[in-house]
Amino acid sequence: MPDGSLAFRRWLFLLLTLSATAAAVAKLWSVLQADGLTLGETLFLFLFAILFGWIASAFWLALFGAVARLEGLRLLPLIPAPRGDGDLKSRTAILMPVYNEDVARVFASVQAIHDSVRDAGERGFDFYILSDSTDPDHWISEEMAWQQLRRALPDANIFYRHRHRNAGRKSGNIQDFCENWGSLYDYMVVLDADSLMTGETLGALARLMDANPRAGLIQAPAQLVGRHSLFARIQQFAASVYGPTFTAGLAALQGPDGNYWGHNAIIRMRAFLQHGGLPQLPGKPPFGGEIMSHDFVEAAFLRRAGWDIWLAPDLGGSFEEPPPSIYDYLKRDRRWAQGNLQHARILIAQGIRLPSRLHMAMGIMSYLASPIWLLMLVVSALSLVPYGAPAQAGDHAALLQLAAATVILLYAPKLLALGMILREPLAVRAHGGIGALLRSAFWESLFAILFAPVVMLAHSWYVLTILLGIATGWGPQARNDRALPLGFVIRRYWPHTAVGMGGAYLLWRFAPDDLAWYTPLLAGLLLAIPLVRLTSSLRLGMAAARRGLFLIPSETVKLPVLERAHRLLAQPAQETRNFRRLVLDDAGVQSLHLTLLQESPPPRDTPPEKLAELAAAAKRRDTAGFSRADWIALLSDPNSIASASSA
Amino acid sequence: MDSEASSFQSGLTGLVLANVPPRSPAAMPAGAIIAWTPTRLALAVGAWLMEETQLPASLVVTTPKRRA
Repeated sequence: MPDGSLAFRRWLFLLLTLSATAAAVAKLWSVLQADGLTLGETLFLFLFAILFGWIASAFWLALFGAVARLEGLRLLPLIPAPRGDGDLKSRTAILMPVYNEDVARVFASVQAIHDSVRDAGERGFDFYILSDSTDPDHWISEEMAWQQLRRALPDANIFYRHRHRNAGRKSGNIQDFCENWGSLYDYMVVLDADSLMTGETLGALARLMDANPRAGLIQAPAQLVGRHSLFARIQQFAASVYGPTFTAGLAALQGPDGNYWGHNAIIRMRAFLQHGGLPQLPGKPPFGGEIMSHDFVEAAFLRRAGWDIWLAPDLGGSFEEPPPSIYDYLKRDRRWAQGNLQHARILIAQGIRLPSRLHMAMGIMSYLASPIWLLMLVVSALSLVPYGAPAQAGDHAALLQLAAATVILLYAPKLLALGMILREPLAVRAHGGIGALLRSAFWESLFAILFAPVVMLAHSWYVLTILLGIATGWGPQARNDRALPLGFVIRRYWPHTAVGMGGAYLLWRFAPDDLAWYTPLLAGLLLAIPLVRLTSSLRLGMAAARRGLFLIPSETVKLPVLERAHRLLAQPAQETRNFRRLVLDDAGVQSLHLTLLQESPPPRDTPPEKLAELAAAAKRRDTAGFSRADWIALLSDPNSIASASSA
Repeated sequence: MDSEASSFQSGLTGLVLANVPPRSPAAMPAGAIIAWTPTRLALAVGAWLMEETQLPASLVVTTPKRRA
């Protein structure tokens, strides 16, 4: 049961959110019911209630976060374990699951984190690169990069394992590790390919787990860093300025009923082994099959078993990179939308605790909000509701009040968060000074206004396709900054522009008085193509940085782990080459590959006659017609490699 | 295969191994996701009602047996 103060905060939050929503709905109802409620108006009122409640909850969350910070509330009320206790007694595995990622980037990150752990004087951390890579060149390149890293760090425990069947995707990858080596460790820290964490933070997390035996998981929120495109810089700035207030609010309301965001968190191995296993959901994707967004479910299972799940909003030293462009952001969102909507099956299952259900419900709502908004706009624009020019003067005033309340709820959290930053001179300097901070906040808000309708349309489409049963895969994310070609952007985003033009025309033709209300929405849709193209630009991103826009602390106050990762990445990498052929032609690469195959033998599911055929063709170096599956089959069989090689 | 073989292409000479520790298998049971059915819901509501209406032992009033 939550302690008294936590329960009080939760009830107060619920009361404030419901009151604000009830007041707004009552106000709108008073306008609409004047001449009797039509079906359209009832629908509009219902949708308005949901959306207003949603933005009211975000407003109160930010306010709770601001008050928590001002009052100095202990947001992570765990028993601290002071550093002076000496070496850690516990052992922690740091896991880097990879799936056809940029090899140089992965290994630069691992080395940077290792170096940070070493420089912090911490011991007891082993590193595992857990590869699910299905591309043969990535596979072999990873092996070579791992070998080079082991030579550079001969005393480090850095291990590499390639899984030959990626059953269960990332969660299956982690499960495979847990089932084979989990019992050797007290804790594990799961990273993403673009994650970075400092040695100090890793040590602090392990000590917190040591001192608090009921803690099952501690999530360290990741600051967005490391990218240079304009879109990424805006995201990094927004997360840096607004994020701390929101995470403080979350921590103040969650207590030990926190959530897991999939990476940059420490997990108690015993708890995860016993309760972290995921079932297959009945039915087919998108709602059945493997659980795609596994993190929320793993947290819910741990919590169900009585383990505490904490958020550590002030720990610092935890980083990840944002998507480099709007296209990559929305591509990731397609997967996340499916993963979150799939949680509906678990949300209503037995035994899940209410806070865990609320986490999943909020995740679902973060995607459902868009089609709800779109539907509300359509209902309004069809003049089923007199949105812009009501008959009574009092009605007009009431609608203006509602519009003002909506704007306040949307923007007050940002102003609150900005205010919290302005209170701290160091934080202001870290964001480039007051002038730069305020200018950046202004431009970020303008961007957000234009970006919102693009997201609304995209999310609405995702929800529709998911409800129609169209599943998506979980391919690798783009990890490199690159400007999107204009032709590519036009092909992807002309529907947004078309919808904007169509909407503008219909409003001008049939409801010209309402056009002003829709201007921000239409502007975002009409400008979708240039918005996506320009914000993907590195040149514009760097130009903004030179003008002091969207600066974040990692750019003004040096971060050793980030700098180290970037320096390692800047070193001459392995030349791009046909890595798969190296296994056949290079004795060293072949020896390494065969030794690693011995450690993690792949399943023997290719028919012998097929293997013989592949080996014979490879021996002749007649491999141009090989498919990816052919290469994987060949590279998975030591006998075939031996018979085909010239090394 | 000679693990000390040198290669001018990859530059990989003298393998550094000591890779993954020996496996220590431990199965991870899959968590249960039990959907509500009308029967389960009725039983759960009934159990909750029983719990809510059951008096704590200290409040149960007993009368001593009268001796004949």
